Amino acid sequence: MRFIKPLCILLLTYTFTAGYLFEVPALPILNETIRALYLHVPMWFTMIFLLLLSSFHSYRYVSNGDILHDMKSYNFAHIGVYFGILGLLTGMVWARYTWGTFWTNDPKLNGSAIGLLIYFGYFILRSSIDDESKRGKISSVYNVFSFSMLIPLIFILPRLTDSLHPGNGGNPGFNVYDMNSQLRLVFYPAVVGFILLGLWISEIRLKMLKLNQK
Amino acid sequence: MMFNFFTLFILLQDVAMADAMRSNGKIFVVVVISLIILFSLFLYLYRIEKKIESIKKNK
Repeated sequence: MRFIKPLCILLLTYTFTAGYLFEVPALPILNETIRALYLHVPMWFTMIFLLLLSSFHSYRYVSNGDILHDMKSYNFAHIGVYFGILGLLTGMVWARYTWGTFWTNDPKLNGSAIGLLIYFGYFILRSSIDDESKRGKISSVYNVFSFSMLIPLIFILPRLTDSLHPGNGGNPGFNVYDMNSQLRLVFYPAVVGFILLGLWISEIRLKMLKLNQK
Repeated sequence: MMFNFFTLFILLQDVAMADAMRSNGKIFVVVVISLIILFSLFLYLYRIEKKIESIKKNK
């Protein structure tokens, strides 16, 4: 993938300049912290994207048994969870100065924490099995399961109750009113840029894993 | 006393300085600092990738 690196550098440079300089809506309580949207939310988008790729490769491994798919799925899960941890940490700092505490009992916070714990379970499961094909099969099945757990935990359950996160607790069709066109101008490039950064890092780590295998 | 007058004089005068980095509440400084970090991270990733490639070739 030739275009990943230049496009990633371009989009993230844009994010890190326009993100600070462009005008944002002036809202009470949020103030300038609204700009954290450009950094905090793309972490989660990147995590979801990488974990989706991971479970896709797990599915491929189960169906055709190529060990490369197992390696890829482990690799994507690893980088994806890193982005998830970054999302949690940045969200905690943001919450401290807008909601008042580092951690609230918001369903989205608890859901994403549980989701990450499920993935920690995946890594422990992997490292506890020595036999290569057995490890691949068991952890692949677990991985597909954990991604399908993540969707209700992050996207469905927070909508069923009240959540402090905008766009949750109620009809997602009204999300249009939560973000205006000024924010979108930086937000979407930021999401793509961070996803490409995640792909870049996974590419490097996959090369390393392949070297270790030989 | 002399010093105080001097500082007051400087403060009152509109001295031309490199004001570009100080406008808008000095936000440009933050931009430059984050860009430095971002680009050094990119450079680091790039170098690691090159190193892994060379190890691959030597094997």
